[in-house]
Amino acid sequence: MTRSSVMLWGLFVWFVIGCVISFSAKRKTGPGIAEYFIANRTIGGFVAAMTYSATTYSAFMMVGLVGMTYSFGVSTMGFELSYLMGTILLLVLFAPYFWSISKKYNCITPPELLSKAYQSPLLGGIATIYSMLMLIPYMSVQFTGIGYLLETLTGIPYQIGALVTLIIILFFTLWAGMRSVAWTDTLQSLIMLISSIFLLYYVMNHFFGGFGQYFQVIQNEHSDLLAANKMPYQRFIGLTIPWLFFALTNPQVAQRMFISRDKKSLRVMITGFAAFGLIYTLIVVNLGLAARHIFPEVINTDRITPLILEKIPVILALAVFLGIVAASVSTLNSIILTLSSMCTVDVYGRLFKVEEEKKLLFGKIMVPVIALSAFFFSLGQFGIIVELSVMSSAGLLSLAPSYFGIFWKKGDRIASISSIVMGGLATIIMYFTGYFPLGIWPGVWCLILSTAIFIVVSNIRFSKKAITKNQPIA
Amino acid sequence: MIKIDFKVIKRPLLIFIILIILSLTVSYLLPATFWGSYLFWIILSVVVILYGMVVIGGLK
Repeated sequence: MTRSSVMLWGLFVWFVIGCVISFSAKRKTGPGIAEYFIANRTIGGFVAAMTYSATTYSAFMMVGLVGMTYSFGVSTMGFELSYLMGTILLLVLFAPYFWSISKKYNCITPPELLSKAYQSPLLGGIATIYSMLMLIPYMSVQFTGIGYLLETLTGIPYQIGALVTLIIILFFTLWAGMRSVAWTDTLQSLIMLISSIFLLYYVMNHFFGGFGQYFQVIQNEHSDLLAANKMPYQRFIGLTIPWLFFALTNPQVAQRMFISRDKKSLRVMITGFAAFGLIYTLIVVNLGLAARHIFPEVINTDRITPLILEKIPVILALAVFLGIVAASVSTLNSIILTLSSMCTVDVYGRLFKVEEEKKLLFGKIMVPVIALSAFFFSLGQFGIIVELSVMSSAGLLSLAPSYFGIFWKKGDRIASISSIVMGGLATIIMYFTGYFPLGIWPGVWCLILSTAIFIVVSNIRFSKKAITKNQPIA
Repeated sequence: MIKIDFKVIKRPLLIFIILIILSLTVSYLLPATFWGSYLFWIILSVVVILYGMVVIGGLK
């Protein structure tokens, strides 16, 4: 059996196992949109931790981050661990309150929570449309990643690989919504973690003769990679700042604050994710450092992981390959399900007063519609897609002040809408014109602008309300 | 409108912000060895995780 046919058979077996899990989830799924989109808040701690991890960590880790570490050394680890710390901060501070509010006010989506917090359905609609605009390019990059990986490792044409991904996602998502996604994500995250642990162990022993020698070789021959300033500081900040707020601004992860069975499960989710994130990041970063010694002169750093896969035993390569596909699929199906829930609850449900069954049908129709949009987008020009996906992580930052505003008594709905629209527009303009004022990256500007707009408008409106309240009645 | 009192998150937020600022600055002053920024970022992450566990463990 050739290497590529092993990969294809492995992919098929993995898909069948995923379908069995998804079908089992369907049997446990009850009626209603809360059941379909957030599993009626009944997900246990371990599954919640695994789906949170699998949704957060995409193929970017094993492909993009390995390549980035190859180029920029430990500064890449600094960026990724700072992001992990930011996520833990937001989860610890926000998740218990958001979980309680979402339960008390029956919120299904993060924009619905904003709508209810600020008493503005328009705000939820704007947050939904804006998130759709930002996340479709990001999703298409996941399709692109699997398409290219399949083409490199199995010879399947890129378009067919992306189409296979689309079919897999629809199977895992449509059947049973969040329960299916959470259960299959648990499988995906275990594959991601276990395959990467074995890969690191093999690379250290086979290419270096053990961890001790690895540390010595990197220290002696590639010490430049251990300098934090290998990545220019402005680039480091420009990359890190948008990702610090990922847990709040990206609805597919923010929605996972609502799914836990109880507060104990929520704690397990946060702790489990923190452990997963730390271990997975350290594995990926050390693979990137090791790759610099194994393949000293690679120009296209996205090729590093496929190069590693060619040098390792076929079974291990299969496991890692499945881990990368699993990472992409788990991120994609979570985004698609969350966006469809937002379209259903925050747009369709607000515009049309229809019964729950019709809403659910609409949500199920939106799953393939959103998936197909991202798929067709991925068939476009790759350079533009990458640019747009970078823009999306920065653009979503304009949502952050509105979430923080829930903790501020002056926080106001008009301020929230203005900060999202103005901050988002400014980011889009900066990316399209290529003009970064003072050399500061658009993500940082987006955060500064949207925060400033939110604070100024909230204060103005709070003062006006106070004046109106104190005016004597004639 | 739903509002949560800022006081409930004030202290942990401040401590977390300090830890993240350390992550974005101190590493750049450390030597280019495994005992430098590499180890610092790992230790800082562990500290953040442990502190996070303490904070969520104390919530009702």
